[in-house]
Amino acid sequence: MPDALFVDVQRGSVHDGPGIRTTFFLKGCPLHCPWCHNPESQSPAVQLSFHASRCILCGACASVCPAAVHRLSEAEPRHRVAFSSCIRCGACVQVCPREALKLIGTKMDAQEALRIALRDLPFYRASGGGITLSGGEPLLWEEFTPAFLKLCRENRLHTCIEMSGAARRDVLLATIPWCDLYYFDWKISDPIKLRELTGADRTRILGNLDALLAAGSDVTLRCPLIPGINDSEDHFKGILDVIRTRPAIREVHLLPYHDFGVGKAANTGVVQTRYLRASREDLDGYETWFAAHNDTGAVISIQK
Amino acid sequence: MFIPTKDTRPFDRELKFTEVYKENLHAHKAVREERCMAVQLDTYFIPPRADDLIAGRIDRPWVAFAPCFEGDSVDKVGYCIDIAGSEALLEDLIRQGLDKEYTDRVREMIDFWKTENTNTKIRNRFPASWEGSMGRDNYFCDNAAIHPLYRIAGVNLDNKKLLHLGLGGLIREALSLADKTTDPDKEAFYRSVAGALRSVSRVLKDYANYAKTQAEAVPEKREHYLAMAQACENASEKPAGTLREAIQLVCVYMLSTRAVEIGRLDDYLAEYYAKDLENGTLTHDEAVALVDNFFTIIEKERGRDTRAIIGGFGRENPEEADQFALLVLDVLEQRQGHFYPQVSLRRYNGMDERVWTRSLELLGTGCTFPLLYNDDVNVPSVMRAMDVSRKVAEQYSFFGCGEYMLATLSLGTPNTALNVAKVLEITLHNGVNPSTGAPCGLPQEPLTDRSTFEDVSRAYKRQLDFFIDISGGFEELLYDVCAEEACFLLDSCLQNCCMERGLSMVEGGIYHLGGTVETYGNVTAYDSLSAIRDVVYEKRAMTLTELVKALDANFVGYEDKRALLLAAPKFGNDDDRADSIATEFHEFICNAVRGQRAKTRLDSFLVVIINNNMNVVLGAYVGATPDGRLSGVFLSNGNSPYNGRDKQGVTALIHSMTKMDTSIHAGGNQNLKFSKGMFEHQGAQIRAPLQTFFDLGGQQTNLSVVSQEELEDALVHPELHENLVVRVGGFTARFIDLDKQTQQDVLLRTAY
Repeated sequence: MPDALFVDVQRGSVHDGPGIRTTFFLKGCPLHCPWCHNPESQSPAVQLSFHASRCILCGACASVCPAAVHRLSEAEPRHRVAFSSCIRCGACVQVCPREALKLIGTKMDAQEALRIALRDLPFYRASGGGITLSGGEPLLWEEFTPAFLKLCRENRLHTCIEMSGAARRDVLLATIPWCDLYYFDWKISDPIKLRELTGADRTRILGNLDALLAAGSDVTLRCPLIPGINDSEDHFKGILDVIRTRPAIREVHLLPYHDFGVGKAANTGVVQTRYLRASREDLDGYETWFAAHNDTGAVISIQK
Repeated sequence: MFIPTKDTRPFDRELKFTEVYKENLHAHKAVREERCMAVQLDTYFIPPRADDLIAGRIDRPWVAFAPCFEGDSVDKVGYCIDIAGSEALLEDLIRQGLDKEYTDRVREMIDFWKTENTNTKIRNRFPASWEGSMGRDNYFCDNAAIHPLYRIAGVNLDNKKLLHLGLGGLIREALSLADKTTDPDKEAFYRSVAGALRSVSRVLKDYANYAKTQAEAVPEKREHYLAMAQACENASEKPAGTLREAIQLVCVYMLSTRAVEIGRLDDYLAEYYAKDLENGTLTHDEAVALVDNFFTIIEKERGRDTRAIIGGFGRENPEEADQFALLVLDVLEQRQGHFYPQVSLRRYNGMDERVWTRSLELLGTGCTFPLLYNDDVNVPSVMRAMDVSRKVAEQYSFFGCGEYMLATLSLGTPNTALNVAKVLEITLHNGVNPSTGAPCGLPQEPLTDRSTFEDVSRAYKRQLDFFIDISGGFEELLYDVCAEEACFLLDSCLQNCCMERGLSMVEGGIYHLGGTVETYGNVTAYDSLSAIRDVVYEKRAMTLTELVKALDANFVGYEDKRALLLAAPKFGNDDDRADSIATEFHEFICNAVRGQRAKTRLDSFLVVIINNNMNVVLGAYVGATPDGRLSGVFLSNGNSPYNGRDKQGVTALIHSMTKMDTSIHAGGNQNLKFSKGMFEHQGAQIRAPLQTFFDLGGQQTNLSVVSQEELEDALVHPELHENLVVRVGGFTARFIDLDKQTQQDVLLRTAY
């Protein structure tokens, strides 16, 4: 049974597709968007995470660590973590009294994941919900993802993938028979800027999008809006261009940037840029712009 | 009515009451009570406030007769005195120059009641076997596992009978029964009931006269007072004819007998509202004002934990009642910020959709009420728990913190507080209370490192059994002593089947003599057992002796072990390792308590696992527990997971909560929290988890929409709010996973 590395499983999720859902966050992503709200999912490997505000400087971690990752001193920061030396043995996590330390990345096979998914069947029934694979990029798990979706569908669960668009085509195609809904990211319309900031290839993304649409899949476009990066009219026009020629896309979600990622990245020793968040006026501005310019049949809504 | 003049002295009422009591010391208990009540009611009510539509305000004396009376920071039953309060006032008056003769009379009165009050009479009858185990009366500053609570709480009066017969009809019924009986005790009971009812009638006549005088004295409020006068005049004798008369009668009656519970008002008031609307004599807004004023009076004068119940099976005319339920919800909307009465909705599949939608709408605005009860589960559960038919079970009601009883058919008062987390602490210390070092509970075979988990379980169950026997014994003793002292006339005459049987509700008159025990720290105990099994017996990371040492040290020097205990499976995560222990011990405790009906004269005796602040108060006297909780910290609340330990989302939480058998206890409160965003943006989706909760067997929930304060507290105490989920820009996140800056941001946003 194929398996995958999970960042988290969020039961009772209500924002990753219709109804009440169980969302599986898989680890690893081919992109490196600097605004990523789940930066701990970018690396495909197990990672140590340290929540500094919970640390009581007891030193239990330092005393058990075989790789001298934890150093406590009088100078700030009083608990220094050498993330790059970590051998992911988990000894420190076991002894931390405040759960300040944890290992991100739990292995689970499709059968186990299905067992978790099935526990909330009554909630899916009552709400029209199901399961969502998110990440990271779930399609990076070329064996697990199609196999798991197939299992879910065999158990009559509604299935959804939240994807970056930058997946391998063959893996994507393998999911089509088993996936009810694709939440497909459209991050930056300008191909050069897109590659520069995220490492993604626009042609490949559009190719994937068209492959899905050609197969008759249900696709919702999701567009993160980061002030100063892609809240420009050019990009907005780019979004309209994409959907104008693809009338099968009925819905576009605009996702205003938030800075969840900054703290989570810091916990894994990564410094993430904190961008400005859109103000209420900005959001109103986006809404007005799209209301005035949306000449497509799609519904474009801001997820406030 | 009590209108002090310049000659009135501060203890006149109490002295008069005491004098009458002494004169009747050897009279029949019913007669004595009736005569004392006459003094009490004549000097207990005060004029209404200027904006009151309903007459009924009180000035509480220091000495009184009541089923439940607060004083000295504890509850009292029967003949009661607030010793600390009256002594403090007396000292104050002496300093102001109170004359010696009066001072001596008051002193003597206080001394008399110190031994003559019913609480003391009950305590004096404690059997020797309770010594060392039964706590003192002041549970809030006493280190013990069980405490007595002296009261007959939560009586639901038969207001329908009251309104249909009127005071005159009730008096005639009592007198005619008195004429027919040949039993002198019964005759005394019936005649005293009539006498006590006449005292209530006098209160209403007084109010009518007062209002008439005011109508003349205050010309601009003439109409206001004339309406009040007419309602009081009619209510003093006749069956209720209008909504105003009905509320007036219920209000004065409740205050007269110090009843707290408004109960199923949509059942007993609906017909008057419907009639008034039909006759065109009352508008919707006028009705809102009347009910609002009624609620305000009960809140202010007798507010304690009062419940107003709407919806549910077993109402005489469901359509009219639902119309009235909608009215109550309108009143509720106006009363945001008031904590009483706790309006509670009994919902069921197929109920009036308007009432359900309106309730969810109010909850979504952050209103704490209505609390939600699931009749589809509760009615069958009550049938089993109390061994009654469906028809009877449909009349279940709940009071105070959520104890189930049968409205007008049973008593269900909780008279002991049993701290099951403390019992576990005593068990782990081999029958010694570690805080005092004294033996407590059952003498016990010591637990050692050779003991198995089954040995620990068994020892705990034995100790629980011991304390539960005390609990049942106390409930019965309280009813026995109350029955010797008095008849609780005004309560008994509106309880089935006291009048038919000619017996008071505590001596065999009531259809179903129930009782309950409040248990605290249940989930703390279950989580502790789960942690013991996981860390001591499965991971073998510490021995049992080492565990007890760590607990005694409040985990200082055992931080690593505490981390393991904290990480052990906990109830609330749909994790069978923890949930199976929780259900096993839940069932054990509930069934052991329920078994007391075979050992006592009670028809039922059941556990209630309720929310109030006792989990905090009693937590102060429990040392560190094996679930990783530190010494003195609050215990689990209701039958919900320990704060913040449900980390797997609302669906897992609901699965865990619905694993507990609901048909063996008398109410377990469960909390469900949603963020405001979920309600505002996901109106339809909030219904799904609730519906599923109820379909899976959820019995009751206090549904709350996360408030600003709570989010702020999460900043300061993140460890208590691990379950808090917020919505930001289309994503859900655990609040505590966000960095400080984002948290601040979320805080600001929810303030909109």
